[in-house]
Amino acid sequence: MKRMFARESESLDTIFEELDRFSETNRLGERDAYFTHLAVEELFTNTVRHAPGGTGEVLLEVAVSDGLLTIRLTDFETEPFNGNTAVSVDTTLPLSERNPGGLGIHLVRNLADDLVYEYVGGNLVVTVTKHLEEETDV
Amino acid sequence: MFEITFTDPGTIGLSGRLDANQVQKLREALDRATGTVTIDFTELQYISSAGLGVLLAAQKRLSAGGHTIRIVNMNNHIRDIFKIAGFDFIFDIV
Repeated sequence: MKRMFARESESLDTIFEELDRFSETNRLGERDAYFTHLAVEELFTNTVRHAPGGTGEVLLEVAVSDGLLTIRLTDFETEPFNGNTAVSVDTTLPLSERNPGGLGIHLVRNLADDLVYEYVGGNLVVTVTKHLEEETDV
Repeated sequence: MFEITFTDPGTIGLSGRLDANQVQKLREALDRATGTVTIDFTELQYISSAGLGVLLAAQKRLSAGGHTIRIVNMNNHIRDIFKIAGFDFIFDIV
């Protein structure tokens, strides 16, 4: 799957339709399909809400090869952001001290094998990789 | 598709996919709650950090008044999300 999406929250519905088809075509198990949707949603919504600048579209690429899932989101002509050094969420804090900030990336980082932010030629590229957990029903 | 059903007093049921574009429905439903709320996750297939954020805000507000959110019938995928988020210590999960 490789497609440009409008850089707006309304794109999420279309993205999920594409991911449903991708999951079915690649016969992802339930857990892997859940992760794919979650990782894409968290990265995409972070891009829409927090990344300043950028063009009107974002490139989303999702692929499976030799049991490795790769998700890549490219935000063009945007400001640098180094998510690799983002402060981790302290999940042991009591309710009164908890807030939802950073929770999305915390989830993705903990579920994925790798999460890498790169700033290349004025474009922010975020890549998530994860070995598929479940056997497909081939 | 995400839907909220109101069954017994103090109980709401969630169904479908609770993503960032759907959380406003849940926020509005929980804003009306004034006491302990039971949320039935039986038909909920998916939740992301956006949904967790709404639940967290509601739990903070309700706990200040001595109430809580009780979550029942959570599937294993969502249970994993709650554990990674540390929400299994924050909510009454049955």
